[in-house]
Amino acid sequence: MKAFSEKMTLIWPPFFWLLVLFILPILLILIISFSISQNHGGYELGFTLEHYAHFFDALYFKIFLRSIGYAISTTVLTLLIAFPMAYYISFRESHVKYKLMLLVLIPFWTNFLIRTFSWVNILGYKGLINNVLMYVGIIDSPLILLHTSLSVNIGLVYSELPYMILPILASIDRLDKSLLEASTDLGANKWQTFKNITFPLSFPGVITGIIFVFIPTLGQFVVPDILGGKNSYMIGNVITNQFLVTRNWPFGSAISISIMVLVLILMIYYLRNYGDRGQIKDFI
Amino acid sequence: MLELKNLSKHYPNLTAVEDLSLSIRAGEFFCLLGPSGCGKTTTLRMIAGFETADVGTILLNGEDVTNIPPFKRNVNTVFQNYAIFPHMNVFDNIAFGLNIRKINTEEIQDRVSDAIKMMSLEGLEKRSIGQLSGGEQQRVSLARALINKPKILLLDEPLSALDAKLRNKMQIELANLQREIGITFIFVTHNQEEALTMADRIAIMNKGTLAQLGIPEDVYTEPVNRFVADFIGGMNFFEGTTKHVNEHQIIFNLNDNTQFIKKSKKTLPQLKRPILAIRPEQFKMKRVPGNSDENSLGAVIENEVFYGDSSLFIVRLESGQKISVMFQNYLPSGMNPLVFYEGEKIFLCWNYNSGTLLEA
Repeated sequence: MKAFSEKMTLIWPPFFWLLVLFILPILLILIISFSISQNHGGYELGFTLEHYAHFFDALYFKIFLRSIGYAISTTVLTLLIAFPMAYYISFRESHVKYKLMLLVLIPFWTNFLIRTFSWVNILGYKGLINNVLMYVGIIDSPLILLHTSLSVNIGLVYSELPYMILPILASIDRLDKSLLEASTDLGANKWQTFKNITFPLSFPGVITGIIFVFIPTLGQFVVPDILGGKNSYMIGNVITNQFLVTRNWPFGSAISISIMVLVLILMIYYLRNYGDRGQIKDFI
Repeated sequence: MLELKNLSKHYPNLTAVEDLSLSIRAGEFFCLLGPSGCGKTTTLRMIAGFETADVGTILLNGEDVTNIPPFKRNVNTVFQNYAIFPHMNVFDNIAFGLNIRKINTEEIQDRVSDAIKMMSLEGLEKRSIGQLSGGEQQRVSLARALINKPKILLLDEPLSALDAKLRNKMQIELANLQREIGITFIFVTHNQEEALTMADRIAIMNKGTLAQLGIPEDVYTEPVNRFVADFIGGMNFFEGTTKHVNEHQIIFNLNDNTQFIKKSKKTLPQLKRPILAIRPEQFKMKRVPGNSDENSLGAVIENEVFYGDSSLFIVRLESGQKISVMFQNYLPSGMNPLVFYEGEKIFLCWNYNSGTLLEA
């Protein structure tokens, strides 16, 4: 019994933390999502599935699909950029490596909004890129870069890149370098070693990276707000609007819960399918 | 077979290997032995191709392989931590080298099952690496290397992670395996017992250079310098001055003016700072002074350490110097050796021919 109560003493702070800051808010959202909307932004407890049905209206569902599209393109692009970067960084000598890792982290020191706004100065009609291209003489009149799906993609990839680099870097870094030597010793050249050893063994990091990038991107609203146009409205924007502008909390909650459930299903499917590949088992 | 010529390897703050020349014969079990940091592993890694020599050449069957990358060398390595691929099962690990060379599936099947039989790993083909014991992992890494039929197999302290009993068993198995398949083994170890047990020849390294090269019996009985004498086995050193009676006999004067005789069939050299190295098992302890062909010095027994099969006595000479003496506790004749007690005064005796005269 003593052991049990000791365990409880140790577990209660994180348990309390999770309960108050995680489980209770989600429960609240769940309850609100079934409530009945009132005029002037209020809601009354009750049970209706109206808001969930509303989510599947053509308009919102299209926005939802678009968000999924952005989440996938962002995940793929960050993966393509982050893997070579992480690979490069992890094979540097340690003093170079830590400097490069610092460079990956430095953007976090600046507020996310400011960093996103600075892309306006780069991509804008009179922005850096247009100025340079016109000065060099490649183009005659400015390109429209800002408020397009391109600028949203750039913004999303930029903001999510570190979350892809770090887990991949960690897994390549943790990789026992003697395995790579063993591979070359057994006759594999650099590419064969990468294909057969380095890549499969960094897979847990890749999966973590995909999860770290895909989920937050799905809920993004700042980047499409600042860098996007009319056609880059994401599901995150719909939710913020329901809470802050339209003041339809039950509908906003229903969308949130729907997405949460969808993401959960996706994740379970994903981990089931890749879950029994060697080291990935340990990861889950 | 394999020739290392004037090999040197320097790191920013460290000279790992300095002007090392060695020639290793086909089919021999060769040991690189030395304390950590002596350059033995660097040497092995240069042979494997993981490190490039700053100076010198490596000839494999007469062909210069100094700058050839590891994957093009017909040399395979068994790593200290085995370096078995954790995401592959036993079969795929062993088949790795053959798969890389795109050998056809049937031949791979045959050769892997041969290797599995040779290493007695039957039934473990589909096991993942986490489910293997240390000894099994060891055999997988051996099979994975040997299946490529290398000209030389390099082994980097492969037994150091095993417990003592398994290590002793593997020492004998490895030596037998090598004799059976006839591939040249180069075995790196800091464990002198391992080297003495398995090797045909031992190269003892110190501070990046070769300290002595020879068969195990020679490096044990005739160390050429103080480092080797001290590194291999237990050793006692007497320091003092010498006076030659003739080429084959000297009088050794200890610093407290105690004298004893050293004889040798070989010519005894004139040395500036002579030391006499004598092994603990070369001494006898007696209650009466030794015979006419023995030196004997008065001593007091300080400690006895019981090892089971043998006992180690620490005795103190009149000069204060402490000497280790090793006794077998059970003699094959059935006669028990004499029993001594701590604090007892005895005579420490040894034959005039015992010991090696070295420069300090």
